[in-house]
Amino acid sequence: MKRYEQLIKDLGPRKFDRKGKLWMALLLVIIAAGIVAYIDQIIKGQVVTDMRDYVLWGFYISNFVFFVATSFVAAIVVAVLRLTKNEWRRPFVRLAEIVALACIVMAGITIIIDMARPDRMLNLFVHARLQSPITWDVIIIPTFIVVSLLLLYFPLLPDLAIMRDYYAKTKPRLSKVYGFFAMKWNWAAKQIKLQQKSVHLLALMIIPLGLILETIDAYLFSTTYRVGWDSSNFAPYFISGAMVSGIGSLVAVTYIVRRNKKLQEYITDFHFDKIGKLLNLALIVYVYFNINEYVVPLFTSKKAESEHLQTLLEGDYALPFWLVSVFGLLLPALLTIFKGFRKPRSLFIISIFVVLGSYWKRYLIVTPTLLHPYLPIQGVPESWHHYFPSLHEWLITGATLAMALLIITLLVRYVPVISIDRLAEDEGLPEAKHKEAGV
Amino acid sequence: MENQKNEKDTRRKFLNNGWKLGLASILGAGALAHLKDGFASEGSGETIELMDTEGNIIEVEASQVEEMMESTGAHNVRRGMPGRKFVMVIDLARCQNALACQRSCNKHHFVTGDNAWLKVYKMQETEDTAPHWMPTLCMHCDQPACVTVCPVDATFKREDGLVLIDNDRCVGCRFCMAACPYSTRVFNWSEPKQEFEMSMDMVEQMHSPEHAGMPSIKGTVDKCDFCPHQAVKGELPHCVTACPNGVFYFGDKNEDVVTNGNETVRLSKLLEENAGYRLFEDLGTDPSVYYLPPRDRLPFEEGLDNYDPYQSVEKPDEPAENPEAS
Amino acid sequence: MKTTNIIYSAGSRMLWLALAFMVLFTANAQEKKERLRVRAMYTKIMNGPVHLDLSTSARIDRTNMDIPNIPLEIYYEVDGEEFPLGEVQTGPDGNARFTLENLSEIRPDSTGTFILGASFGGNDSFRRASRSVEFRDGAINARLEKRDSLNYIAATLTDVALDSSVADALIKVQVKRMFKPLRLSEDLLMTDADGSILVEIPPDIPGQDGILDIEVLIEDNGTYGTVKSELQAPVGTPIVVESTWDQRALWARGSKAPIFILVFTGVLVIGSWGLIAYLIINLFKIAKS
Repeated sequence: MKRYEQLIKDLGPRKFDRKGKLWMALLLVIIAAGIVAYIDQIIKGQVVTDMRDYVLWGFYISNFVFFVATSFVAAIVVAVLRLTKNEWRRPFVRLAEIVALACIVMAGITIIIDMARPDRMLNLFVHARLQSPITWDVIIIPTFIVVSLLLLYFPLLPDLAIMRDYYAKTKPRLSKVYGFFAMKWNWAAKQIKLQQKSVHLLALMIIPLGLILETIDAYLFSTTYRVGWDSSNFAPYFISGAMVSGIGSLVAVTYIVRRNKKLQEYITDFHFDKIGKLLNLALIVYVYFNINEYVVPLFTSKKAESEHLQTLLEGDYALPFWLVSVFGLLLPALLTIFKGFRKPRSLFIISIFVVLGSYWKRYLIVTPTLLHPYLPIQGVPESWHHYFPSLHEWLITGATLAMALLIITLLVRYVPVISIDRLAEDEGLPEAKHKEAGV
Repeated sequence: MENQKNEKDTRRKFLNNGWKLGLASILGAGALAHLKDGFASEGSGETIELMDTEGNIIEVEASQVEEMMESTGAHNVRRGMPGRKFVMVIDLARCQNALACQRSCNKHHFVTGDNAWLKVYKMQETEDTAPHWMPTLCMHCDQPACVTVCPVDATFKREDGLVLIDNDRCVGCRFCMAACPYSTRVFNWSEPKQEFEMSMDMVEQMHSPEHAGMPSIKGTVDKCDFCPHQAVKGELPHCVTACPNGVFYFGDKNEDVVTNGNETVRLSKLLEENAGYRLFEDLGTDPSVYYLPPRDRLPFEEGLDNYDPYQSVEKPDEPAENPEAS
Repeated sequence: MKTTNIIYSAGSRMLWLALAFMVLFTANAQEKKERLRVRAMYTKIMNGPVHLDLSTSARIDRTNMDIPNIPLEIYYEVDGEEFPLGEVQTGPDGNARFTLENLSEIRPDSTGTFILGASFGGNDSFRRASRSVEFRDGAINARLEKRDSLNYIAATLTDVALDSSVADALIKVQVKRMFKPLRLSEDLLMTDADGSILVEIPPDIPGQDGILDIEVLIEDNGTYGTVKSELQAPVGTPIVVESTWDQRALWARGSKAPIFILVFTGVLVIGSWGLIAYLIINLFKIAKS
């Protein structure tokens, strides 16, 4: 009895403490600033960004790519862990589901921010042209939002019911809200069967959908003639890059939640060691793809391609390129091989580097290519020869990141981050309802 | 805010420049309005505003105007002029960067941004090879990469070879700009600062994909349109007529004839005798613009006086009226 | 002060008869009238009408401008006597055309010389002006000839009044094209002693259904003005329009997307949303049991 109470107390909703409130306030301020900047962008046009006719895509698109990648991988992690019924999956699946949902929603919003005529958004449906990768995005992103919502929701039903019952007397109003979302869940055999079937189906579905999502994302670039994008390697390259940024983000979020909610008992070194190995695998695969992308062309690249490579390896973009490659990729790949670096704290620090690295990696994929068109850049103002995000872009992009974090924070605040229902069952507590139901 | 209002006022500035013409018969204006409405007036009951003799605005059923247009032989804007296939030949040997083409294009398409639709590149492959001037504009590819990626059919390929933009449909995603290997597309990053010598109602009536820049629309893409508004009158594109050296030849490939205004020649012969080629043939975009190599060319150096690597659209002298506004 | 009004006149329901006026009140024009320049060009189409093409322009502020809406009276002149023919008004581009059904509507003088003129009576802005053209009636007889399986255009220029052929006149033979006509011979063609020329038609000129609209003309001739003979010669290569308009392609319009894209997206959308529908039904089933 006591253990069950403890579980609910540890994992159930908890009021924001001072730090939590400060955090929320910070996020809201960043979001408000971003909204103001966005309204200004709508009024004045995209001229408030630093994008121009040559660098026609910039921070917004790299941000979009980052969100898509993170969402895709979080979902994949859930699916793989669920399908393989891995014993160490428990602490990660729900957080991964939350991250997947938050990021895909923000990906959708980010791509609208990049559109100069959001007022004409309906044209994307009314005049949809199926040949365009953008239309594929228009199809896949809403689909993925719904599927990741369901993937979060189905396994959550029993926990919502637990909250409903737990608060029935102490907080009837809160209990009602949980009750509404719990869909009259009462561990009936039929309910459990339906739920398990649905979760299994979702886990199966989300793998191909996620692969398609990430592939389309890569196609946005590789369906053009641009040097550095026009590569048949691009989709797998993006997928493996997504693995890195997605797992990295998951590690970071898990660590912070664990620290703030004091869940060291539930999310242990063992779990971090396991996910650290997964991150290591992702990093090594990504190193391999980077070799394909950057080393092989050294031998056979056409003139334009060599120029592009040259700017990255030793030219204007050499510093960020090598920072990203060494600190965001090579070193993490090397360090995570060793068990010592897969301890929670060091893994967290590594994952921060990995996430920042993959964020700027996307910027490096987008910008230098656009500055190397086939014809030389002539007849345009000098400032068009460079790109660095403007204040508006920083504010708006910052706001989208803050919104993603806000969604995660709120969900973590109200939803058990580890399934109480499953933990109770794993530990064989008398309150575990699955037993009663005879499953 | 104040600044913006001023802009609008100047845009709506009526003909107050004296003798300059702002005249077009309703027939002409109506025909252009129809060109646009060939696809825009899908819904019934759509009306067009016209002015009657007393100066009152009256609304007319769009379909009525359309019916009238059928009889005048107007064509479907999305399908193009039947039986035509427009091509251009650019003779690099004759180009010396006089930039009359660019000025004329900027003027007639009301290009006011920082990036002209027609550009003359200073080309030099390596240090040892000789430099030459190379005008580029939209190649009107037969396998256009830009059209392939447009999500809303805003840019489209016509039967007569033209690639045009419907600025009323464009959502501003800029994918077409990323896709174009010729860097020919320009974006209206802010409200265009265009000035017209006729009323905005007239501009609205003449607004059509067949006359790009009439007017340009914020948040949408513009580019060279091969001047179909000239072709319907049997006239050559503005750049062709403006060029003092006869660099640009324009014509209908089906007729196998191109003309630069002075010389009218067989396209096949011209290409054969001068070893004509197309830009980036290996990309497979199948452009409608051919180049003649810069053999025996006019002196390259004379063009250097006009060369400005950082400007392609001449700006009216910026008045220092409200320096604090920017 | 200069003001300009644009007045649209809307006509009957079916036909929008169009007239756009430019009404000019020019303050300085009342002090000093501008000089109006009238240009006139005579063109005769064989077996067709006779045109007098007129244009009005003026030099204002050191630039040449076309002047619209100028009423011009057309007349012909015989032995110093003028006979009115009608009136035309220049259009928005400053051009006007006066058409006679044929030359027999007017009379030449005893030497066979015609005089056609246009005059403007003057108004608030412009002084009166006039212009006339003098010409003799020339005729071009153009024929399609076939020799040794090659096609030729043969043409003879004659002076109608004298009934004699005209030698050493410059003749153009050209095929009509969309923008500018294509000349069949790069060399100048001069009529010989018999007033004739002969020029070969290359076999591979494209034409609609293989028909070439050929024009044989003398242009701005000092004596005969412009005389043009038109004939349709079925000796061209038929134009075959290669259209991919109705083909499915990546760059075609949305409704012509390639089949594989339709199938793939169709399967994807129906498949995933079908499963989503099934999952949502499951949710309701859970709520009910």
